[in-house]
Amino acid sequence: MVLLLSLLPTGWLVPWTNRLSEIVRLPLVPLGDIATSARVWLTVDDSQIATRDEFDLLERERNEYRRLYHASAERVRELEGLVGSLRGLPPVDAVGEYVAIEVDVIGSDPSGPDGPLQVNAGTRRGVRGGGVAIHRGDVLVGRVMREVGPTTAWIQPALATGLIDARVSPVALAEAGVREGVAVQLEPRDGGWRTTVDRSVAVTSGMIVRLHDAGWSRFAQGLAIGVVREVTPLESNPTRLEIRVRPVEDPRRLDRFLVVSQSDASGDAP
Amino acid sequence: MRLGVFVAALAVCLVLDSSFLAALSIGGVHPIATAVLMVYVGLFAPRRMVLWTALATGILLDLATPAVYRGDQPFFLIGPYALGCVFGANLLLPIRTMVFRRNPIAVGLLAIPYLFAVGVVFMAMWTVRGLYSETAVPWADASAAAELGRRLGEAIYTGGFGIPFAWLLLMTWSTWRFDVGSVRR
Repeated sequence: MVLLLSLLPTGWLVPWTNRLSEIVRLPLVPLGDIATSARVWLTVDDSQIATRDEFDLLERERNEYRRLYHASAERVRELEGLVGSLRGLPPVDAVGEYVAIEVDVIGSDPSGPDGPLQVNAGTRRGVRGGGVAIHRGDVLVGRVMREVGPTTAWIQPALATGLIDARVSPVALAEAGVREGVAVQLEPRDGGWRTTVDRSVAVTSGMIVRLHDAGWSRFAQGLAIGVVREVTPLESNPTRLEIRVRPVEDPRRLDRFLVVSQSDASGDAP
Repeated sequence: MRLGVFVAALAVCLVLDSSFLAALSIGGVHPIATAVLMVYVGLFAPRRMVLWTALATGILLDLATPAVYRGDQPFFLIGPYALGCVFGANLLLPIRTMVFRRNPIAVGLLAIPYLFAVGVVFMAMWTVRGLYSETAVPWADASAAAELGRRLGEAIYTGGFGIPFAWLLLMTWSTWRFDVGSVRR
């Protein structure tokens, strides 16, 4: 019987095995939440230990952000006056209603730590397939897989979604707009991504890689997915550079993030 | 054997596997507590009970192991772990009378072939399913040999982890109320 089940076509299994999995694992959700929090608390993140150069870079970034903050505060005051005059006009070209839900990670694939993450929110809280998982407002974690259950959903990490179109931008916020930067197509490799660019392109270690992929939800565009770790000449073609990118945030180290979904029931499409 | 105790222990092990033990991950592999539990039960429970619990545990592991269908759809295949656990239990049953069953080292060491056998069946089932054009195998771009090596590493790691874990399980031995006489039948 089990042998027969395991050989049935996937299309026949998907509708009911997903529901069955959710029902069976439902009683384990609170325990999974606690265990995930304990795991994240216990795990040391080596990438958080900064070297001297990284520390200097962080200090420069802090000063830059501080300057930008004060400039933005001035701009906000200007815009508040403008908003006052525009209030009352009908919305034009609205992005549509959306919901942002804070979710806790409750588990992952026991034998595949790089696989999807299960979270404790589903359709009842407004999570929809194709939604975007975001950490700290600017970092893309992954996307909500289709077939969302009433109480749980699976998040596919960005690293597990195959080829991704992105743009490599400088660190400084002023230059980090999505429309600027070098367009690249990232290929998952060795726990990160790799790509190649022409040698004339100025790409250096530490640059931010932001999503720019029409296959993803609009909420994901421009979010940071990785940091350039290494730039080396491509051995097989010296006119090109090979770029290796590491994820900004390891999804396995997260126990809580935000999921942004279309709020309407037909919000599967990006 | 008291089924209630088994169910509670299985729930804890499934949570450990899917949510906690990744904290002990080395090189992408981490121990599987459920395998140690299955070896522990396999050493003491009656034969029929061992096989049924292995099947139930395997089905639960299958339902906790998502594969990806059509790029972004989670998909749970019942079978690879279920058949693997039954196969592993069948390997364990003939040799359980030849080991010092109340020794945690024996439990830990037996977890190595047990989990490796489960992994071999898991890979075999997915390889067969890989013949369907719609199915992508869970090890994605890695070769089958690399995945087998990873699973061997996982089995060895589980064996090491299994010794202290089995010691904890053996502390609760009286709670399980195993019928020791049935093991020789």
